[in-house]
Amino acid sequence: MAQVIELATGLLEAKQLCYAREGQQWHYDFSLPAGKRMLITGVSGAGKSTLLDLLVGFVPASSGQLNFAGQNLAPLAVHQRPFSLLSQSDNVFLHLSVAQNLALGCHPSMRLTARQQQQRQQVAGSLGLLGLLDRPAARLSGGQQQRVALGRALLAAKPVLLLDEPFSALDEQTALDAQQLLLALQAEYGFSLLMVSHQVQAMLPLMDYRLDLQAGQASFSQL
Amino acid sequence: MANGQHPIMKALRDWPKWLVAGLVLSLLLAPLLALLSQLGGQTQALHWPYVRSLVRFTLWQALLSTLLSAAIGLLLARMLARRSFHGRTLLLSWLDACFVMPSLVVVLAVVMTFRPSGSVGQFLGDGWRLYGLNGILLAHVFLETPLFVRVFLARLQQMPAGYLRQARLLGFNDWQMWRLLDWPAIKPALPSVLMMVFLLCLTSFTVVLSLGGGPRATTLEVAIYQALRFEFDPIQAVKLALLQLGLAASLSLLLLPALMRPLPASRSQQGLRPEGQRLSAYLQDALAWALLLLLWLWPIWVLLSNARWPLLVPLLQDPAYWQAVRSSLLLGLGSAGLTLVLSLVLLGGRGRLALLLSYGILLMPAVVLATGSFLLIWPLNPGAQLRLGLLILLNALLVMPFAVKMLRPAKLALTQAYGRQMQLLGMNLWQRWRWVYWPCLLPNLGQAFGLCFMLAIADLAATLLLATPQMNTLALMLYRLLGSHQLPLAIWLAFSLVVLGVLVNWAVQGMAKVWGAKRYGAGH
Repeated sequence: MAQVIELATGLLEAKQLCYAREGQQWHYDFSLPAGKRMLITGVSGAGKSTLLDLLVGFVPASSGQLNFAGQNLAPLAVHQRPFSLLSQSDNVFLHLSVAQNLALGCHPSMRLTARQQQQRQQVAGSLGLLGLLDRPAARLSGGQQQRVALGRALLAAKPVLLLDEPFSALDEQTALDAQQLLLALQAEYGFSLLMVSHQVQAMLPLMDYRLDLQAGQASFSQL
Repeated sequence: MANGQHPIMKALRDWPKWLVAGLVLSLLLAPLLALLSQLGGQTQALHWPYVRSLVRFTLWQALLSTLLSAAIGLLLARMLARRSFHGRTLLLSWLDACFVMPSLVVVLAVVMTFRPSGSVGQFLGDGWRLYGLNGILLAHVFLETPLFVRVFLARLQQMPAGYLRQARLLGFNDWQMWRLLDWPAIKPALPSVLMMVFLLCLTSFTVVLSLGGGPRATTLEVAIYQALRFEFDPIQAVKLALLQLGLAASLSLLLLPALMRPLPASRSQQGLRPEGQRLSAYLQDALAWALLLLLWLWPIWVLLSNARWPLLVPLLQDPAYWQAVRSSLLLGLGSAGLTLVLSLVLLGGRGRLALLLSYGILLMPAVVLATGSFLLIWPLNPGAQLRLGLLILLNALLVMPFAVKMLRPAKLALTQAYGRQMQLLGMNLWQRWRWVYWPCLLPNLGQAFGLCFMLAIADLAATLLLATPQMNTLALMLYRLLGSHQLPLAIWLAFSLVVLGVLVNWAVQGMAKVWGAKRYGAGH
């Protein structure tokens, strides 16, 4: 099928990016080329989710630089930044239908152009959601809800997808299916991927880079 | 700024909120200033012994009412938390209904049941006096206990099931259950609900006016009304009003930090509680049932069984009755609608502004508000239309704390669940309301509308001061019948008030449900 979603691409760079809170400091340094996959690892409290919050703009950096394709992201509001985010839960609006949830990715007014409607159909098709478009998200299984969230992220056409243990609430088989689907879509659409996961051994072979967080410091390595 | 949002831009974007806040503040303060301007150069001192006894009684009845309601509420909530029986849901709905029961209906039920010749009063001995502290306490307990039951029961039921399993394994007795689990669960919710009920009892008007017993059993709120209406002494009224305001404000300022703190959220549902099989539990629950019967079921049964059909027909043929129905309907719909609009705008952000203004409103004596407003529109030579309009405005203000109390937690929960998504998707304020808040809050809005409607049609404080002898509302008619001891006819007016409230509640909540289901699927 012809590709109807095009993404801007670019290098994501964190230079001495620092976040300080309650006397603790977290430092991040890495540069992720376009279309690559990076695994973020570390024990609980090492600052994995904090990094995602920093990137998205939910919390402000204390110092350092964050660039995408050469542009400084600091002055940009959350929705202007090049990121989509999938967390463990609360990724979809439960009272809205699948179609409405997906439409929000195209435009928050939900008024879609013919081209956007076509995109929505295509994405729903590749995620196996075509038969569920009219169903409220509340009546989907956990795995289906995550697929809707993923579809919405694709439609938002952001070049970088951030994943915060997105499959940890799913059973083993569903999680495996979702993960395969995700990687296939990543290869197809070419977005960059940053994933926080505790399943280091299973995930490492599938990744290009690793950012390991320990005691507030990040070590970045190519795999 | 890291998030691309300058604080000044943010404040500008929030202009509707500040506009409404300004409006509410001026509606609160302008009447007070109008009254103060009456003071002029007058320096006549208050009659201190009288004031002292007023203050003492006001605080005493509020304190006793609050503590009694809380204690009985706790007893009932623990019984409801550990027993499942047929009709439990029905009983809970009944208690909810009692909380919104128009105070005049409660007064009527209390009078008919507990007067010395009443079905319960006759057993209370020769020394029993209903009018005065006894009557006030009975009515306040009837009205306020259900709120405690709701809050306490919710806290008890949110206790993680694991705690209860552990308690069972460790063999906690009733006292240990209370000290180690129930009390810590209830404690965070206490300051806010105690304060709310205390303020409601402190400024209670209808109950004290109808059941108070002369100058020795009168509160500041009623004394203000009497100074205005019967002694034509606005200066005395203003002084008393300022006293009440100062009293209530200093008390709530003490508790303000606790009031503004959000309750810790908890999720899990409970299992069966372990202590239900003990003798002490059976005794407590028997007491709970006895109180339920005596205070919440029997008095209403007395009302129902004393209704006389032959009185209904002439009432239904009386044009004055239908005029009262019409005014009450307008008053209720107008106030509830307006208050929801104002509250929703004020609830922008985390809703702290709405909360603060709510407490401001709870502090302000309704009779002061009504009198001051009346002074303000007096030069306009107000006709019935204008008076009704002002009544709607005042009642919208007076019921706002309840709307805020109902809507704020629901909205905060939505923001917590969906706030990040909405930010990520770049949804603007309109889109957030259109797609998230509005559809998800529809049921809450329906409930809040119903509650506000119920409270507004039961209003007596503002209505008594603003109505002309020709103007009528159901509450006013009921009050006049109570005053002239036409109790059998008063019963029908009480029923009318309740039926009107129930019908509107039913219609609005039905509409909210149908609308929600049609537009947003059955998902919510």
